[in-house]
Amino acid sequence: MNFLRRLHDLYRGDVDPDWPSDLRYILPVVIFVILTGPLIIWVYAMQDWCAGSSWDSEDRWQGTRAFAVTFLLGYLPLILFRGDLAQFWPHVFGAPGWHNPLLWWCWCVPLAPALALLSERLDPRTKPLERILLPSELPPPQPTPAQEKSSPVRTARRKKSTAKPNENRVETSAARQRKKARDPRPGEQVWAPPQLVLPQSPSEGVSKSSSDSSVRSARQAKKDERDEGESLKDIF
Amino acid sequence: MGRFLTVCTLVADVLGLGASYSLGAFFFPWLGKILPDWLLWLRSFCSYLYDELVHLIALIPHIPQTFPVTLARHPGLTWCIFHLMVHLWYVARHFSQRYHETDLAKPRPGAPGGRRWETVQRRYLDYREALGRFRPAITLKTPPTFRFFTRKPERQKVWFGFKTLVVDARGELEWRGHLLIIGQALLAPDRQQDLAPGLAHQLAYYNSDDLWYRAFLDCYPDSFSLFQLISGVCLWLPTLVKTLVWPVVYWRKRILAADRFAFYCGQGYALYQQLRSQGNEAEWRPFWSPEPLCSERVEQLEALLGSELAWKEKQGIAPAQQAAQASVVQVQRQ
Repeated sequence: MNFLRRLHDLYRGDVDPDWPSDLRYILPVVIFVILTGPLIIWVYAMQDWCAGSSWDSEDRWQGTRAFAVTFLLGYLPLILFRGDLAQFWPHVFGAPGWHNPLLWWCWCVPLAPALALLSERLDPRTKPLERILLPSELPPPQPTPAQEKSSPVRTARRKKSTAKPNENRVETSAARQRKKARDPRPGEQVWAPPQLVLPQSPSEGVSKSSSDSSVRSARQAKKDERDEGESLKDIF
Repeated sequence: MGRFLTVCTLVADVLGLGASYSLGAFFFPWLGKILPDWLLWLRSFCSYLYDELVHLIALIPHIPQTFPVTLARHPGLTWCIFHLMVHLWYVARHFSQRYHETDLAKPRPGAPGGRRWETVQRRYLDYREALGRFRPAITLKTPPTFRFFTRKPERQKVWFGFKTLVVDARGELEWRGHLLIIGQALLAPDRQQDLAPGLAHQLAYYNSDDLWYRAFLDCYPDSFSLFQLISGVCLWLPTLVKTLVWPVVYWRKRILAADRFAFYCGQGYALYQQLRSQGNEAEWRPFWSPEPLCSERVEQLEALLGSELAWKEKQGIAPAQQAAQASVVQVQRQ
């Protein structure tokens, strides 16, 4: 498990090789590569491709599953008619015997989709989409009772009494700077309530009231006006 | 799944080529031998036609002199060439349709910067903003440009005395190759609510490999033809896969996936409303139709919107009353 995960991370370049501890992986990897050739690269490439699209990964995995089943079924004729099929083996690549590594590698390639599925089962890389809170959706911070009790004037007085004269000057200049630093956005944007990206909820569509519809139509008209008259340069 | 079906279609194509060869090499000569005496004239006529065709090939410049002789001896090879030429014709037809842009206008005036251009760009901005709701992040790929067209009014066409009604059957939003085509009416300011969900739905195809698969399938005939069956050109074998397997196994699911993508783009509710307004209760579709039932699409969107609303309610950013109403609607529909 850890071996597979570590190897996949190294393949993707997510982690740097840690030589003293990674040395123990070298021997099994070398044996595996000698036996199967580039199979491990095929497997990881296939798994990464399937997990690459967060919204479409289901379809990709379905395709991989179909390939896996088809290729595994394809081994049946390879085993049953291996004598006849050996005639089609190009002799440039050596004799079609068990001692020919190239033949082994070609034999192993159809296993790649099935092994990609297995690898995903052991070390899942597909992340499901998760809804997150947008800054515009965060509720406004409510003042706690403790903060309400201690008013800013009172704390300022308390600080004034404890601070030294030099410190007081520094603080006031910082406060002055803070006062000067204005919000770069225009006033109407600063004071306007944050607009949600999501459309209206479906329940609103079900419970239609006259006031809701009028508000919505007014909003729609406003949006249409914006679409018609303004350009992107004007807006942004 | 599209890649798997692409491989299946290619395998069917190769098998079709082999079948064409077999028909030419074995089946037609055998058929000529078993013909009854009163149909001998047909055999003579066919062999005469074949010989003439082979001699015509000899007239093509730069063709080796031995080539017609080879064709005369191996009729299977002739059928293979015939198969490939028909295939080539369909490929040429696909490209001519794809790059036929005389009926399309550029996104004027002065794209980029024009009103239509900015309307579409604003939609893209909305989608990108909405996609930020999800982790891991979804990258939105958008086409570099688009074209629009003005729908032609219905007109009567007279052909050899027969009157036919010609209707402009183009969709308001569609792809021609990798070029986005939008009906001009849809770009009007008062139709933004219709444009937004449809555009998000179409972008799903651009953000997946579907447009490539469509282009690939366009290189095959749209339906069976009697000519293919009689002539022995077995292009009907990949056509079988295209018309019977692809719609049921792939395209139906892709439409649902595109709806899901539209939901991620923040257009779930708008699309839901559109579908609800379109959907009729007595819904029917052919068995091989590539489109899912409208009710399937509506149910999927209801589930997605309902789950998001429940999530919002859990986070305390949606009133509980709304979530309760949504769940009641779902239960009623079920």
